[in-house]
Amino acid sequence: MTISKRLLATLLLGATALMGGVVPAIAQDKVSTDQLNNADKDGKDWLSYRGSYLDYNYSPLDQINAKNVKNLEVAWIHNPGRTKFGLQSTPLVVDGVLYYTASMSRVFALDGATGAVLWNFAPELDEALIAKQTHSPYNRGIAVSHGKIYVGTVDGRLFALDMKTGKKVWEQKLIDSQKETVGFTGAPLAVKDLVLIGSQGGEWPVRGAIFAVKADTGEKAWEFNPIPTDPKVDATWGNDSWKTGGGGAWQPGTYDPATNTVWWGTSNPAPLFDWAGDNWKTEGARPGDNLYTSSVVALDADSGKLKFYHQEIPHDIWDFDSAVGEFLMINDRGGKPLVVHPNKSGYVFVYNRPDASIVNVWRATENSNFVKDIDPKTGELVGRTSEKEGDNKDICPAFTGALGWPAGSYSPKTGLYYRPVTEACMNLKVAKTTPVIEPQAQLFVGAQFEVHGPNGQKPYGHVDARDPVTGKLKWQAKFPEYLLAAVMATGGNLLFVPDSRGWIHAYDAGSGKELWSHNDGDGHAGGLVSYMAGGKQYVAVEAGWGPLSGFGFAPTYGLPWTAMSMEAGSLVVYALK
Amino acid sequence: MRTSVLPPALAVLVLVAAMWVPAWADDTAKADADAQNIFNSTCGWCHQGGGRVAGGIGPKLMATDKSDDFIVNRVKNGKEGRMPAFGASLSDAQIQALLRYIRNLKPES
Repeated sequence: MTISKRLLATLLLGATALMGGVVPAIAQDKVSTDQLNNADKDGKDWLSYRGSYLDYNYSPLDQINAKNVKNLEVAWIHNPGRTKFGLQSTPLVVDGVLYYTASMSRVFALDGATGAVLWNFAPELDEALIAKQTHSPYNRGIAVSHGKIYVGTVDGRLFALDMKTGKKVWEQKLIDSQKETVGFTGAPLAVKDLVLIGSQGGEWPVRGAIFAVKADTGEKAWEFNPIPTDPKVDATWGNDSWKTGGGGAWQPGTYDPATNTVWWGTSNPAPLFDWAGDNWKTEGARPGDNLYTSSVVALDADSGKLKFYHQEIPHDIWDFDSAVGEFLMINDRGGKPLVVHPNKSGYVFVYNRPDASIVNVWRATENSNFVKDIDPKTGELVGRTSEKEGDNKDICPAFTGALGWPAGSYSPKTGLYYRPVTEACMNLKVAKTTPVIEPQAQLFVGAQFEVHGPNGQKPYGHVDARDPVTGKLKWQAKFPEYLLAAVMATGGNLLFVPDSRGWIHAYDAGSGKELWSHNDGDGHAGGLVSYMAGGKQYVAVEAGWGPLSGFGFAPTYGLPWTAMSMEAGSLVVYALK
Repeated sequence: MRTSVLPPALAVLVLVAAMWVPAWADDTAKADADAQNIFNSTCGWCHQGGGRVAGGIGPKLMATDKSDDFIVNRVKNGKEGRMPAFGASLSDAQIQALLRYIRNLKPES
């Protein structure tokens, strides 16, 4: 006679309960490794930052679809209060409970059907430090596994909360933020029995890191520094410039269970700009390629050891880092496993999954001159421009990035990759600068700059629907201003696009025809998800203006941003009538 | 016509006075160069075009109608959700030099 595993577990659970003993771990392991590995299969939940390890930012749900989307209406709203720098996170959903964060790493657990608050958590943060930070106190999201919610803080800590009660299980200080100024704003990534999180960094004269801690205790398991102490790496940083080289990894990457590999993007080196001109390999602020900044790194999930990498922008002098995250795990038509990764420069890199060798590189921007091209066979920058001390005019794209951190979306149903793109250029006046690291690290930029639109226009944006491997354009939706929020495709043949004015649009994912829109009353600068609760599909979108990149909207575009609060926000949840 | 001639001792005194640069002038020049570095490294992240242009994260600073006290206070204490506080990172002399930098901003030709 055989007994099924489920029956055995039930019997064990019953027996333990009768004996008054401790409930076995199997009953408490809500959001197990197995669930995370298969999160793409079941659309009822949203278990990781971009939905699943496939990183599609896609919901397979189709109750809301192209035929009935016109009947979508607001089901409920939640206002988190004290919003600073907008609402920038992406919710997670487990068994009908929606979890999301607002600024100051405040976490809310809400009934997904009604919005009723189940619990909230507000960590006591170092407010004196926050007052000194530029990229703060916004938060971009959480991770969930093994019965716990994980959230980072801008003062350098990682918290684990009981997902049922919101009570703190552990906290771990990982960065000396009081000295380095930077902390955590990005969402963590749960991988097996570990929780990974990347530090802020980039244009700061400190070295960023990716940390892994044990999910059950918070004990540090490993740390990967994008500028590791290694002779091979040191040789790419002249004059000991690695010591103040930047290279954080502020957005989460993803995980490939088949090879036990973590894919993560690192940020730009510091100082942001460089006066070396054509002699950047031997002169200037940081002579050399500056490994492994502005790179995609593949790490062994258990040890954090580097398996392989590709530096997308050697000696980055434009702030075109790779920290955008978003690693689409797709297969080509022959079944070969690939990884598609957007770089801030506006180029999209297509990699072979086993070794990050280049399959293709294609460009999403209409305006680009920082290089003549990136070789689609090798990934090498062709005809790169250089910066000299003084004026450097009309460089496109601008440092703000053509492909920003808010997620694009891939629909396995249409085979299209939907991506917001920003069209902007910059003037730079590069200056020789020295880093300030005492008494506390300060931004290390190295230029005066001015962002403007291409060809005398104002900066603008578009959402493209393209083949993710070839970049071939299927359709495009243009916007008079650029977008600062994620987009989401669904199994209902829809693409949801929250714009900067505050409208959320639904397009036919195949044709690009706009089918529905609604005004959320506040600019969008965060994520959106879809889930099931009580047998009904919901779409939840964060509306809350105030991201750093959005501060210039009022003087650049006028209304509605001149009348838009920078200190408000709400989670707006839609369902069919 | 009578030409006035300085006594030799007085002439030497005048010459020395003309060549002498007071220590505070050196300090001011150093502080101003330091302010330029601070602005290029840190402040310029938000205040575009070296503070001459609107449309960045922070406002245009050139020809601002804010008072000296307001500017010094804002640099020291920041504004929650809008601007960091630099009072613990920068000395009073550095902040005064930044104030001079802002007051001396001119349009670029």
